[in-house]
Amino acid sequence: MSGHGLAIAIAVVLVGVTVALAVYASRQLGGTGDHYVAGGRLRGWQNGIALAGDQISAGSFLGITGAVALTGFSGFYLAAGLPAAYLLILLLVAEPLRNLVARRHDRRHLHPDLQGVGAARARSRADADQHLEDPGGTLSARCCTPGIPSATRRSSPCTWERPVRWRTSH
Amino acid sequence: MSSTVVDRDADPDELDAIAQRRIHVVLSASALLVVAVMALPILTSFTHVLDGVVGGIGVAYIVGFGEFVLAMAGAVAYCRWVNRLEAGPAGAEKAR
Repeated sequence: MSGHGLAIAIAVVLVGVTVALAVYASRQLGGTGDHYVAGGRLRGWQNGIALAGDQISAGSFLGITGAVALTGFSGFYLAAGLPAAYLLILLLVAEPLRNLVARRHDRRHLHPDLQGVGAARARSRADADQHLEDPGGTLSARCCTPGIPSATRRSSPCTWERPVRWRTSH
Repeated sequence: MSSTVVDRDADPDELDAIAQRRIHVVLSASALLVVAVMALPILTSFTHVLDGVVGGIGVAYIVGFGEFVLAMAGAVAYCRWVNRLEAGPAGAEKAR
């Protein structure tokens, strides 16, 4: 097989494997949450590998090598910036991003102040839903949970607690 | 995802202090990192500090690869520190 033929064969195989993986993965997805954030199930090292795969791509690997070959030390500046970018991501982006995902999937990971805000908003939405589905308040006692009382539930037999921002256990 | 469980009975002022300390550490480390990284092109472009050659390798290249090590060491140190911080009051005490 000539050099061109071998290169074309390798490219075709790579594209085929990539498409097969994409088709397989698409059948495993359960929704947009799975697609964008893997359902919030990724661990730290898995996210690290994904970030590395994004940054140490063929463009970076071959491009920086070529830049060093063509321009000398000036091309090395491109490589020197990568580890700094990783560390800046860790310091400035990782925690807010984790909290964003945690807020969606698991509030235990949140700062207590954010837990209170998120829980209050969720309860407000639940109160609104309850008001629409149960205008008479017959289900209010069953749904009673500590939190901010809505106008509908003030007349219910539930004993409401004041919202506590920091201490949620008594 | 790390399993951070916040101590719900912790003193609010203490949690505020921990959060402020974390922000202080993160911003300080970020500033130091930017200074360290930007020092390389500045020193190589405008000074002769890194013009030497050691063992056939330019000092600037050695310093540049040293930044890789610096970034890795910084990441490991920060992860250890923040894991202790999120482990609860006992870990936060160690992280001080």
